[in-house]
Amino acid sequence: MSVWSRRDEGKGVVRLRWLTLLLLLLLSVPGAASAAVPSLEELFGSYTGYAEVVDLVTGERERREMDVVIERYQRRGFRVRWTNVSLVDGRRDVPGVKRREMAVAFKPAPDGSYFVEAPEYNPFRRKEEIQPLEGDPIRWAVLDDSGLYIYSFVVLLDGRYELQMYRRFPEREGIGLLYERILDGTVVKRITGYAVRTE
Amino acid sequence: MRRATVCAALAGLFLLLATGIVGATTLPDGLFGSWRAAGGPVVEVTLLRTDEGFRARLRFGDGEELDLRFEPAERPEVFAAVRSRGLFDMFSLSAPESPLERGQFDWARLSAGTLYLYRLRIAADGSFLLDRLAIRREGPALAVTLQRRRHPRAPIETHVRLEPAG
Repeated sequence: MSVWSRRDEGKGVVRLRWLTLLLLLLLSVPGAASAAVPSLEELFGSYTGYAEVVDLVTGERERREMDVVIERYQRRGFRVRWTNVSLVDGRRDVPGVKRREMAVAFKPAPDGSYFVEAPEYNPFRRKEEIQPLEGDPIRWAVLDDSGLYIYSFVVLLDGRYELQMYRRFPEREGIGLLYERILDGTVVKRITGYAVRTE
Repeated sequence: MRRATVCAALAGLFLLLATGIVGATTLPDGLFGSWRAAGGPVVEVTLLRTDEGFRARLRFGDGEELDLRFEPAERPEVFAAVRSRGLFDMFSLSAPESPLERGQFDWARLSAGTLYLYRLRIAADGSFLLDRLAIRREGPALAVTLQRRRHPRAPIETHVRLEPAG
């Protein structure tokens, strides 16, 4: 083996080490490698936590407690049930506390790449077309690498639109929440929060 | 007696129409015409009067073209896009029930002399495009503001001034 070839072999080892180091660095930087889409099952569970509500028109802030359940609905859909308790001076045992319970279920869209709202089953009601200009909301959900998005779109009486966006995403030992209420193009309310998975 | 009842009903209908409860029928005259710009998010706007409402033809800066007809909706100064009647509608087969299934929904409204055109497009993967075009006269020119929102990106707002064509 000549001196040149030994030198080349040495260079090769160094190059390999550098490549390994670079690969490790890339894997350790969040977002450097393509992020994986979380599965619905990963998000299923019961969570409890807090959220901060900011009214971007008045500047008012409010802290609320939230309980969220994300569960299977029918065979391939999902349902989100959540309860919000708006606190008064950080307390929930004084007059003025508001409690709201909500639930919405989704089923896969015909081609299965996203979800559409599953209407409540009523055998006596004729299946009717959604009429957004008569106030019917359009609701759909998307699961991508940045989380589970639920959109609720409605045309208001005066023709302006309201779009509500809920983004729930895996974070630490639970889920993060980002909510925006967009009124005809302007974000008027933003909620951020975190809820831990309950035992 | 019967004649008086008929007269009262007609008068009521006239009042209903006159107060605009069943919606404005068309746009102000000044918004009809054709305008062009050399560049920008929207490079051509043509608004034409139709029997029932109006027709909007737009050409965007990226070459995309839009041609929509609007008719008054059952709300004052709100217009619904006229859906093309396909075979499904003609034969009352299972036509797409929701704007989600059709993948598109367009509407318009008029407020203080400004025409707002909206289009919602929902792609096969659930991502969406929501455009809001505010169109108003500024002297002989047409000022257009386009706000474009796409899932899950932040919205982009751009302005352009179009001059009368021809």
